[in-house]
Amino acid sequence: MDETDDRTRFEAVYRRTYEQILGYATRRCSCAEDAADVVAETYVIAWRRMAELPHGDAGRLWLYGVARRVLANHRRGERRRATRHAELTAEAEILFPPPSPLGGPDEVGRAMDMLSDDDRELLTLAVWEELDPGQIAEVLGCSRNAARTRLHRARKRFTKALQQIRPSARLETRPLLEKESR
Amino acid sequence: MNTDQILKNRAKVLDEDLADWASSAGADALLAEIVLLEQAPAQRRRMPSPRRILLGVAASAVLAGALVVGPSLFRASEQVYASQAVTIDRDGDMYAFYITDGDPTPAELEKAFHSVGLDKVTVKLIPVSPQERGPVFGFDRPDLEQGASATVFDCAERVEGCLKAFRVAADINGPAQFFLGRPAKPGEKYAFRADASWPGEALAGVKIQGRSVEQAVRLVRKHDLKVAYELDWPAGNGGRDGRNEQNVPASRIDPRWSVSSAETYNDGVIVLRVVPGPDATRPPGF
Repeated sequence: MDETDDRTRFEAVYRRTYEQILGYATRRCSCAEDAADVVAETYVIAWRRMAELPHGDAGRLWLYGVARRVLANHRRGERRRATRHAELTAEAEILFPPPSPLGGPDEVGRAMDMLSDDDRELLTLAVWEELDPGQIAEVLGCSRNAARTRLHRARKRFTKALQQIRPSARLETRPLLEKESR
Repeated sequence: MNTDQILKNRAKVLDEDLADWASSAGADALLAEIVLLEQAPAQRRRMPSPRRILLGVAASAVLAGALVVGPSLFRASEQVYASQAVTIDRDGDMYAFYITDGDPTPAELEKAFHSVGLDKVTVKLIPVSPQERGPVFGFDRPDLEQGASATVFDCAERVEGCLKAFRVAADINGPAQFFLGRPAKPGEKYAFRADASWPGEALAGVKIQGRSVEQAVRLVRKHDLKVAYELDWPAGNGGRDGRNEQNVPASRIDPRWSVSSAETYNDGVIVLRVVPGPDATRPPGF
């Protein structure tokens, strides 16, 4: 594949998956700078490994897998900066509104903290990225059956953790983004 | 309410909230940056990318060879050396070094090189920005730059506690000096450029990217810093890589042109990397 083909294909994949990868990073990072770094590094790796990037929807799952490893490295302090992505960082600020002074205790967060990293990743891939067990298996590199079983167990453990923290679950609302609240 | 819904409600943002973000200015700018980067090493051409030229020449005051920073790919390999500070894997015709000590000494690194037969390699640590997260490294011989790369992507998955990693050719013949970046002390000049807008740097938090040269110069001077210029010429005639022209006099810079970044050696000078306007004339060789 020549340079033009590579660039055309990369741009198509980038435009098609950008919002999902940005969403993935935003949901798991605590600040805009970190989320922008994860998005940028994920696509830098994709660009450098175009030959390995699967076609179709499998490409999106492959990118989730890359983003997952980038995020893990990032959490270990290995921040990569192959690009500047200053505008992306500035844009992403809107996705990280300051915490509300009226906010109550983060019971769901505490319940999630009681889970293993693997359980958290399984649950969030299922709920936030809306992946089915077969797609989760692609991202995590395990069998579909293993993903299904592990997801089932993770859900049970999350339910149990929630019950320990707050026996009567109440409705939680997602905080509004600045642009949504206008 | 089921647990899935409870968890979903906790998401900072859902994908549907991000509709149209793929065509935002930030997404466009990132895409433009990425496609200027080199792809996998196997696809590299002999002509280095602007970034690599920048790194190599930026270091020329200190080094004859090029410095490398950035991620590369990870492949299966076999461990051939391990100490508290360094683990080495043999990976085909390369050695992968995994550094597990945040402050390795040249002696420790030389011992590692020598243990795998590279016994004519000496090591020197060079000051780099404390904000620099990737391994900055290079040789004093340009022929050894070929193939050397940073292997950070799976660093800590490969070796527990790995802080940075890099790969060098396994068949280095003759004497060679290896340079590895270490965090500079306060006030110390860097041997390798840093982004001047990083925290702790001379223009921390100042947005330069995208400004006109005129605006950028005004900002730099406001901080009592000097200005130097470079031009990033885009690839021409169907070529893949652009070229970076250094030490460009101010008389050749149009104040309306756009600045892509500001970099520093922590020496009171800010190097503005400028994108020439469409009507700019390329000098011979660019």
